[in-house]
Amino acid sequence: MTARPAVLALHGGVIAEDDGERLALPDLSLEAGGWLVLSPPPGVAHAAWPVVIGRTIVGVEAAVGGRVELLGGDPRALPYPALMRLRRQIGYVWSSGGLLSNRSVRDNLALPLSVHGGLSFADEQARVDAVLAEFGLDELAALRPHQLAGARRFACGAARAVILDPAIAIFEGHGAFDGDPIGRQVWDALAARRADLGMAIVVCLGGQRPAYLAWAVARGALALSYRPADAAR
Amino acid sequence: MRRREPNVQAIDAIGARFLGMLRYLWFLIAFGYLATKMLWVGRRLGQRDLIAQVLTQVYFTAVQAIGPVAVVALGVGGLAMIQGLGGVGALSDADSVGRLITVVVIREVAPLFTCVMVIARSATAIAAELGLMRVNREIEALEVMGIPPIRQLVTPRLLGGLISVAALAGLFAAIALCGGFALAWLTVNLPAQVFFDATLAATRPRDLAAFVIKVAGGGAGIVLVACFHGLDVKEAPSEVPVAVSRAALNALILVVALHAAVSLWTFVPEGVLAAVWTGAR
Repeated sequence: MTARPAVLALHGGVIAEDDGERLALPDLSLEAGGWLVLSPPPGVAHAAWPVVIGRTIVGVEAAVGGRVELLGGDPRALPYPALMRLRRQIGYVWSSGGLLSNRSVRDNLALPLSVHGGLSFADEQARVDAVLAEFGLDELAALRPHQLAGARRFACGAARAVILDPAIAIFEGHGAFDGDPIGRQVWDALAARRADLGMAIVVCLGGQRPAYLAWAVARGALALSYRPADAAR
Repeated sequence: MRRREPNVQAIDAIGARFLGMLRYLWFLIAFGYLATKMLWVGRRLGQRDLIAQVLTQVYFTAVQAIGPVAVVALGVGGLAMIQGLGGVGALSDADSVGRLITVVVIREVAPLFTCVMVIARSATAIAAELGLMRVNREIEALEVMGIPPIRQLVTPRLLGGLISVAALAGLFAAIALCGGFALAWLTVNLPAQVFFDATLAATRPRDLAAFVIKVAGGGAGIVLVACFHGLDVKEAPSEVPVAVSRAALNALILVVALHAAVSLWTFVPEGVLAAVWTGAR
């Protein structure tokens, strides 16, 4: 029996660095359909840490040490066109949603489809409608990002990230998971995609989130810790 | 360490500024090349979205500016005619009137005023929009979605800007001609046939070529400068107003320099340039 190829692998003690923050990430190998939650040890927290980790994984920033393999290749070693092709298979969700402010929710979701999807306009709109419903955003489709509350922006970012059925979805934070029905609906939808489509999920947390961790681990997530690199020395 | 003489320092400073200007122009040319190349390289990346963005840009830059451009053009045409009929030695024959309108409106004022209005309305808006997109990590979002930001943000604005400046300059010239005629008709009862015949007769292919070069070069230059400074914002919101003012000022300098160069090259008689050159030596 052959091993399933790793969607994401970190080798050799990856050190992520961005904007003065250095983080030591654990060595890991995440297969298709896997679910990984990276969080700092108890007692330390920083809102920028998920950003540092996410940017390093997708190759926006280079790892200072170790090696990152995303979908079988080092994103930093790829030429620009190949990197762009690789990133089409990645869904990425920013803590703020990362939505384009001059487009409505519907147009934000349609953007990756219209650029990469190769669908007719009718098929594209049908797909957008389906994903809007899946993430509980149907009634917000005409709104602009600035008109949405934080939880809705995160939901919209998540919906856009998965609209092309990516192999892996990476999240800066878990959004408004605690006590927010939309947050729960988003994570239920993502867990279902993981089970049905084999989408791997990586969640980078900036602090301890016990409720989310317990919920995710109960559904098969692997919880690992990273730590500030200075503390690792 | 030996201190340099003040005059050497001044020459160094001038040289550094000149080299900086050349580097800036080189960046703009490379930027324009990349944006144009993306039309071919990114041809499989959803043409529908690209066309929609071009149309949006044309709407914001051209359609929304029709009113202000029309008012300014009418006023400029009228003013040119006032100067022709009363100010500059009271032009008596229709040929002189036609020549004046051609020289003032088609050669210089229509392309220049249009570019200035597009700088005031759209270059500032583009620079601010792209700068804020950078601050809000929207540019990074495009990169991570596998969408080249130049293709998504610069190429459609470049196409839309070119179309808009060309359309607005044409409209400006047409309305200014009508404004000039209206004033000539009201004051000296100049017949329409005579006025437009004289204007057409005075318009040479060289005038039209200069008009096209100024409009195309100005339109492309304005959009590229605006996009360049907008995308040059790093991460702080406080950088956005700086980028906007730099974009507006540099676009204005570029447009005036381009217009001056084209006018020098096209309209100053060769003998005059040669005499200036010989005199300078």
